[in-house]
Amino acid sequence: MNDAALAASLTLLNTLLASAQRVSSRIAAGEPLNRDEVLAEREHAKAALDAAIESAEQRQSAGREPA
Amino acid sequence: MKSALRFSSALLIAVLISACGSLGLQAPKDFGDQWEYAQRQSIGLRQGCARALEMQTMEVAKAKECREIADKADSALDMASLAHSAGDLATAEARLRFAQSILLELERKLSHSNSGDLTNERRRPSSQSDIT
Repeated sequence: MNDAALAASLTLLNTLLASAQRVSSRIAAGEPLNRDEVLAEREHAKAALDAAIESAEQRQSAGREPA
Repeated sequence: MKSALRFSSALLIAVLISACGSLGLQAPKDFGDQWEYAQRQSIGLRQGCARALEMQTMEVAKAKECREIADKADSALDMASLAHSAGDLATAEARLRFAQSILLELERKLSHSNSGDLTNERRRPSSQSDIT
């Protein structure tokens, strides 16, 4: 595993723990599940990943093109 | 340095797998809680992959695989939710377990390596240490 891979793993760990802590806090507070809110966040995360992929592909294409 | 990185990655995997128990997270009390944990796991993976891509620490192919597998997990979670609403608890549980297993496997793979395990893509050596 190289430095980039380790950085990516730590980024994932960070977002996963933050996500889990949100559920845990809700359960601890005795609040009911708001399914619509979770699904809205899912759509937001989907759009963010799509945009990040598109942006990275554009970077790659730009890098391949001659100056 | 390399052995330190290996140790860190092994530690990371152990933390990921045992996160609920070791970090004092609340245990799920019902199907809804389990569903939300799995759904937020999928959201967290997408967010993490997006950030790693923006920081240029993850390859595009890997991020696409992350998206594909998270989509599969979401479909299974949608089916679990529908089945639960319809009173089909056995199907709901089965779909939920399936989604959880997909997400756990994705986490393991993404945490373990960023070198092509997911896609069997051809790896370009980026340094002499990669070649040897």
